Amino acid sequence: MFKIKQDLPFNWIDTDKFKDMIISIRFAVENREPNVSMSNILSYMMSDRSESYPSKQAMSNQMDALFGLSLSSKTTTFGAAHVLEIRIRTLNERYTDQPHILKAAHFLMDCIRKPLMNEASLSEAKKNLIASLKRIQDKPSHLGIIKVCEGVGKDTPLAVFSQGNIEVIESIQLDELKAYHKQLLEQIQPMILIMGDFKGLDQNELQSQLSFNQTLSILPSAYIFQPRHNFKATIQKETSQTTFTQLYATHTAYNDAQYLAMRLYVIMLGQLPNSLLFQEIREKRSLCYSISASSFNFDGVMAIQTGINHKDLDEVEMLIELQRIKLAKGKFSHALLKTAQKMFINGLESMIDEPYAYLNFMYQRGYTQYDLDLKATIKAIRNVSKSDIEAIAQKIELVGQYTIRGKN
Amino acid sequence: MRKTFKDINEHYDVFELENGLKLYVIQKVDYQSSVFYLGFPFGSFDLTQKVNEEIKHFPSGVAHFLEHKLFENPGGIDIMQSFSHLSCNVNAFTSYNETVYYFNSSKKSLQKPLNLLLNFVQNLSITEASVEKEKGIITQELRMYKQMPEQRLMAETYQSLYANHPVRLDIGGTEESVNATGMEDLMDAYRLNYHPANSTLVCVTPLAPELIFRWVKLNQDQKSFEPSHEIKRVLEAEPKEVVRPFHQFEMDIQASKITYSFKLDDYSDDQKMNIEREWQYRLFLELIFSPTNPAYEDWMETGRIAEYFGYEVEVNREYGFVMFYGENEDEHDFIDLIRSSLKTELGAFQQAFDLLKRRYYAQMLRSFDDQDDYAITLLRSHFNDVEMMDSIALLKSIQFEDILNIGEDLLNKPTALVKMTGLSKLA
Repeated sequence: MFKIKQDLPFNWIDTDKFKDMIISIRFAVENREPNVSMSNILSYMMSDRSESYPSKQAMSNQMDALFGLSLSSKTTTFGAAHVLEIRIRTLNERYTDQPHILKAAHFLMDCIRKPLMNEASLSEAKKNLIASLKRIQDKPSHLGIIKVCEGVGKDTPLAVFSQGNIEVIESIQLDELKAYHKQLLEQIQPMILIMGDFKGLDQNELQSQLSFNQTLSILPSAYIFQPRHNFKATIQKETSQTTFTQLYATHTAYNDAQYLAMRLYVIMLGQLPNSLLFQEIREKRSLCYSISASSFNFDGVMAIQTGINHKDLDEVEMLIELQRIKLAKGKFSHALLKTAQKMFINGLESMIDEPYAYLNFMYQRGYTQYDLDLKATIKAIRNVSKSDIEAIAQKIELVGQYTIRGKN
Repeated sequence: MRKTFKDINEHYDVFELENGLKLYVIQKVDYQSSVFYLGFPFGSFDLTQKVNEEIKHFPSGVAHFLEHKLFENPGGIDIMQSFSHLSCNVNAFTSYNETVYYFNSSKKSLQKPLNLLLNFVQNLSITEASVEKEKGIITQELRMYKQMPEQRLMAETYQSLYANHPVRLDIGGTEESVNATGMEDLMDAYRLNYHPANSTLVCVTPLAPELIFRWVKLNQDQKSFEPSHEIKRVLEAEPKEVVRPFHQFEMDIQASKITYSFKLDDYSDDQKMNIEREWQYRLFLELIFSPTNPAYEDWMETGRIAEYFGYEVEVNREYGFVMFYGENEDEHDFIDLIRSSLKTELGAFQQAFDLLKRRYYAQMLRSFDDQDDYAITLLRSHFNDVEMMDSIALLKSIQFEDILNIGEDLLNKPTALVKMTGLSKLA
C-alpha cells in the first residue's frame, strides 16, 4: 500500500491512496528560550510572506494558482528538542490539468529560505503571537497544564511552553531573528517527509529542490524528568467550573523497556470509557463531565485533569489517588488491561489511514532512530503483563497540582 | 444502487431496508480502518414537534440528554466497555439538526460491533434514578463549554440575532432545562424520533457493501417496530429584526473579542438554492475579507484587524447569517471596516474569483480522504435531501456576476454587535 524509502534526511512515502501530496520539512533545535520564541516567530513569518511574494495577496494568489495549495507551519515539543515544521499540501497531479508539484516545492523552499523579514513583518508576527498566547491562557484547561509544567519543571525543558513566551517574544529584535534564521538554514539539516503519488514525478529533481546540504545531526529529545521539588498553587478565576490539574513523574523514558507498559497504565487510568477515573468519578458519582490522563512521552511525565465543582475538590483528589493505588496493588481486572492493549493497537493500526499521523510516526522513527517497527511494537504491547502495570504504577510520583478555582 | 463519480475516483452504494433504515456504504479498499455512523434527524432544534395532529413540546437540550442516556447499560452491559473489548472506539454527538452514534475500528471482523451499535441505539433502557444521576454530568458539561471564550461569544451572538429560533439556545440546553427534564420526556422523544425509518447508517470501510448490507439486514430482520409517524419540526415565526443590536458582557479573559453579524432573510425551502447562496456569500466574503484583497494587509499593518479575524456564513432552510469576528477594542472602527469594505468595487477581482473556486474545489476533494468527514457530510446531505456531490456542481456553476451585488444587499440587513471584554473593562 505504501512504498517507503527512508534515506535520511529524506522520507519518501509513495501512495495513491490520498488525493493530496504532502511535503513536510522539520527543523529541530534545543528546547529552551529564546529558541522556542524565535522558532514561533519564524513559523508565523514563513507561512505569511516571502521576498518573492512580498504581499499577503501575492502569497494567496500563488497558492490558489498551485491548485489550492495549503501552506502551514507549527511548532511542537519533543522533550529536550523543539521542532519547527513547515509544510504544504496540494492535489496530486492526477487530479490537476497540469504538472505543479515541482513548482509547489519551489514555493515551499522560497518561504523557508526567504521569508519577508523586516521591522513591520516582525512587529505583526509578535503582535499576533502574543494575542494567540493570551487566547490559549484564557482557556482554563490549557492554563492549568502550562502552569503546572512551569511550576514543577523550573529550569528544565518541561517548563518551556512550545508556543513561546510573551516576554521573550516582546524582546526579540530583527537582527537576532535574522541571525537565528541564518543559523537554522546553515547549521541544521531538517528532516524532509514527502507523501503522495510519485507516478510521473521527477523524484530526483524534487529531491534536489528540497536539499539543504547539511549533515543530519540528531539532538537529544526524550529524557526522564527528575523532580526537584513539589509544586502546589491555586488561583481564582470567574469561570463556571473549577479546573484541577495534577502532574506526575513517570520515571520512564521513551526508549525505556517499560515505556509501553507506562502508555498502557495511562490508558487504563484515564483514557478509556471504562478507565478507572472515568468510571469512578464520572459514571459512579457524577462529579464531572470530563476527566482524563495524558502522557508527555518525551518528558517522562503524566497529567490528570478534570473540571468539577470546587466543593468536590477534596473528594475528587482522594478518588484519583485511590485509583492510582488500585493500579499499584494490582486491584484491576485483566479485562481492563486487555481493553487498553486492544485500543492502543487499534490506534497504531489506524495510523495508515491518516496522512499526518503517519508522517509523525515516520518522523519519530527517523528522528529518535529507535526501531519503531509496527509489528514488533504491537507484539510488545500484547506482551505487557499485569505485573508490568503494577511496577509502573508503583514508581509514578505526584509532583504538582494547579487549581483554577471557579465560581462553582 | 451504486453512485459513481469517475472524475474524482469516488463511489458509494445505497440500500434501504424493509423497515425504512437507509444504508450508505463507501468502500475504500486500501483503508485499514472502518467507521460507522448511525444518525437520526433529531437535534437541539427539535423542541416542538407535530406528530399526526398532536403537538409535542420538549425541554431544551432533550436530544443531547437522550444521547447521554442511550449509553445506559441494559441488563448490566456497559456499552462503551463492550465496544472497547471489540477494539472499537465508540462515541456520539448531538448537533442542531441530528444526533449521531458512531464507532471506528482497525479490525475486519465488524459484525459484532455493528450489531452492538444497532442494538443499543434501538433499545432505550432508563430509570428515574439513572436520569437524575446524569443531570450532574450534563451540568458539568454545560459549565465546561460556558467557560470557553469563543463558544460563549458565539452563543451570545446567536441570542442577539434570534428571538425565537432555537439556534439561540445551547445544544445541551440550560442547567434549568436539564434539571426539568424527566424520564417521560426522554421516552417520548425516543419513541417519536428513533424509529428505523428515521435513521440512516453510513459506513466507510474496506469491506464489501453487500456484506455490510447482509449484516444490517440480519440484525433488523430479528426486530419488530411500531409503525413510524410523520414528524414535523414546529418553529415560531422569526422576526426580521435582531433582538439586541448591541450587547456587551464580561468574562475572565485577557483578549477582548467582538462579533458583528448580519441577519439574512434570503434563505429558501429548497436546500440546493441555500447551498448555492451560501457559496456565493463565501466566495464574495473570501475575496474581500482575506489576503486575496490587497486592503487586508493594510488593515493588519494599521492594527484594524489581527490574526484572529474572520467570518462565518450559514444559509439553510430556517435561518441565515453572516458573522464577522475579531479582537478589536474599538467596535466603531470594526463596524466601519466591515461596512465600508462591503462597498468594494469587485471589478479587479475576476481572476482571484476563478482561482478561489479552484481552492474550494481542492478543499472538497481533500475531504473525501477523511473517513469521518466523508461519512458525516454524506449523512447530513441525506437528511437535507440533497446529493453530496451537488455542492461541487453548484460551486462550479457560480459565475462572477452572481456575487456582484452581495455587498450592497448585506448593507441593508439588520445587524447585531456583541462585545466580550475582560472583567475590568466593562464600564
